[in-house]
Amino acid sequence: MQGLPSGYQCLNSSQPWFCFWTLHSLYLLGKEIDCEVENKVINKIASCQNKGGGYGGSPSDISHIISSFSAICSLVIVGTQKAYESIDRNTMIQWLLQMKNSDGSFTVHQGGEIDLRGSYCAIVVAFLLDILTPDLVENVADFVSRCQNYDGGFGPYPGVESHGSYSFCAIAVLDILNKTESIDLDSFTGYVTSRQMSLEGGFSGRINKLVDGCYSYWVGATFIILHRALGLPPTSDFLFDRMALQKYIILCCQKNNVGGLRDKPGKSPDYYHTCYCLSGLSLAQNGVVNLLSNSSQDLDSTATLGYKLFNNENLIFGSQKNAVPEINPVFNISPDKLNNWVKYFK
Amino acid sequence: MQDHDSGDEQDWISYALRADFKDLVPIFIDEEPGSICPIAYSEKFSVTMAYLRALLKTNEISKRAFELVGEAILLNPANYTACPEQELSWIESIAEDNPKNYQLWHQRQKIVAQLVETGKINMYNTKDNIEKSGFELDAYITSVTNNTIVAKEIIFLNSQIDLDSKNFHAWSYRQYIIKTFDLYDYELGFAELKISQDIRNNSAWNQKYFILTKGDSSFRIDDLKVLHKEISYSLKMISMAPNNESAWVFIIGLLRIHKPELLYTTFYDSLTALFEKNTIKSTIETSRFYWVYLYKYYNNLLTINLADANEMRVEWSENANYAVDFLANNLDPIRKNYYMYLKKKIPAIN
Ligand SMILES: [Zn+2]
Repeated sequence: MQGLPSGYQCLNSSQPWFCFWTLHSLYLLGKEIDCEVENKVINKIASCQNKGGGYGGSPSDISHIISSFSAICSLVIVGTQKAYESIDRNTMIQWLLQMKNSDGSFTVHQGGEIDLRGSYCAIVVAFLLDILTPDLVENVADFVSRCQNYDGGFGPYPGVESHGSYSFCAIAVLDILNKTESIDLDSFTGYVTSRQMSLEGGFSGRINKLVDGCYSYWVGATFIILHRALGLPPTSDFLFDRMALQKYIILCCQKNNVGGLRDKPGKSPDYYHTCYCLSGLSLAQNGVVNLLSNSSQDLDSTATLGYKLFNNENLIFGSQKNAVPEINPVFNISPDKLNNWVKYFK
Repeated sequence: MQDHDSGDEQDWISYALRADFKDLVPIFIDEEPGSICPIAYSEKFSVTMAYLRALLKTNEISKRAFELVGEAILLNPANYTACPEQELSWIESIAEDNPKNYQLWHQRQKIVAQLVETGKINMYNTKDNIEKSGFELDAYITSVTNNTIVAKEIIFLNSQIDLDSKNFHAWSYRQYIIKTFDLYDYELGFAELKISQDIRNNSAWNQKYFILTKGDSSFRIDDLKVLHKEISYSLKMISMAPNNESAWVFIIGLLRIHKPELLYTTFYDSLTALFEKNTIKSTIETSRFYWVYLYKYYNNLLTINLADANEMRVEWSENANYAVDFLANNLDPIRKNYYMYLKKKIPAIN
């Protein structure tokens, strides 16, 4: 948080992303953030909010659905009343509806591309701001289902090749909307389980592509959402080899004498991979218990927030010092912070 | 993440010193030193962006605006506000440097879409001036389209995919072009060429499926000749590389969606017929996909033939169990949890 080298200037349009990656990585490393940093984050993100609704990647950029997603998630991590009050929920829902297309898809920004990242970010933002209205949700699951391919995975857009990250976006949206049964879960399970590499233990993002540390989260979280979608017993093990994944993250994604985590040996660590390798590590170290059903109308007991992960020392590879705290697989945010956040809706 | 600019910093003349930009008041955005995640901007970057903001404010359309926007995009490819609507060849030069950039590929698609919507695309119906890059399928494109824009896009995409055969954005944009201009016949040749160059190129296999279904997820193939041809094609590829996930998921997915009744009949017969021909059985038996298929084959027999004699059912059940146990314990232990999940789904026998 002390400043970034100028090589990162190509990411000038991704300022809320940087806030999320660093804040969430600090949480996973057990570091508290102080009031001063909290206020700076709130101000930085507020400066990216546009009058017409939503957040841009920088104060001079038009609103982008992915910037809005990372902005809101960062504010949930900060979690204060001030963070919540900095958001204009009325213009946000107006803007999200403008980005929505009649087939249930979302455009990522005015005149921009349409893909499943748009669906995921829009639905998460709306959920976290309690503005998941019927107009916003209409046909969303249909568009998502149309992105499922013959191999069971999901691409960004109907017809386009399946990809681990878009498969995550798909199942996460359906989980929030309580519609995971609307896809072919059998072929999906085949696709997702095939992403773990026999030798490396980490996940690949696409069929016949190489392993990459960031999929530890994107694919790892997919397994946990799938676990519930398949109705597997909460206390049973996930459908991937958690020790093999942890070994890949701990042994291959770190570099001697350099901080941060990386894609694979031979690459340099960066903020993005640090955040998602740590998030994947958290998923692999924790089990799920007590998955709540969606019977209650209270937001804090909806199914999506009902993932209760537990830390079990037997699930941790290597020293207990490797333990990282738990996350909700759908939002990649601490369950406690999510529960704290939803109290603002009441 | 790539480093942009840097090298040519010395040759660059600041807009602040240029006569043709003298009338503009640059808009700098304060990054106070204590702000969160401050980025150490180079002078070139902050000055260029400041002049860009000034130009965008007045919506000026001019030669200098064009030049400035071009420079800004080179400095900051993720800055979508700076993306103008411009001619394709200009974007081409940037896309080559940043092949994974979403905005630039999208911009390209938007320009073509606009030409189609306004009917202006027809102004390019001529065979003149199509420059070919020497790629073997480039020459052939002029026999399937007489539109220079379409031909040029295909030739550009051919060269991009030649550089990176699994470029996700290139393949995705390619689907848009193929669908919009109905170039499925041409594309089948391209996809199969790419598969022959690398049978593990999953983007090319996906493209083959896209072509067969004409990019319509609700389309169903009912021509058995087409499906039989694909069974032979895939089995040929499987016998060359039995562990190639692309070939297995292609044929199994194709049959499951379009003619599920062939999956455990014709396909099973063709697969086992391969074994009789030569020594291929032992190599195919090293494939985890083969064993998962066998499991599904026996599981299917158990599910559909509930009334069959018990000794048949016992044998099918043993075979299904053997397949998943072999996978979990010997061939593919990393997916043990998945195979144990499959094992639980084997129907009980009385
Ligand atoms: Zn990565």
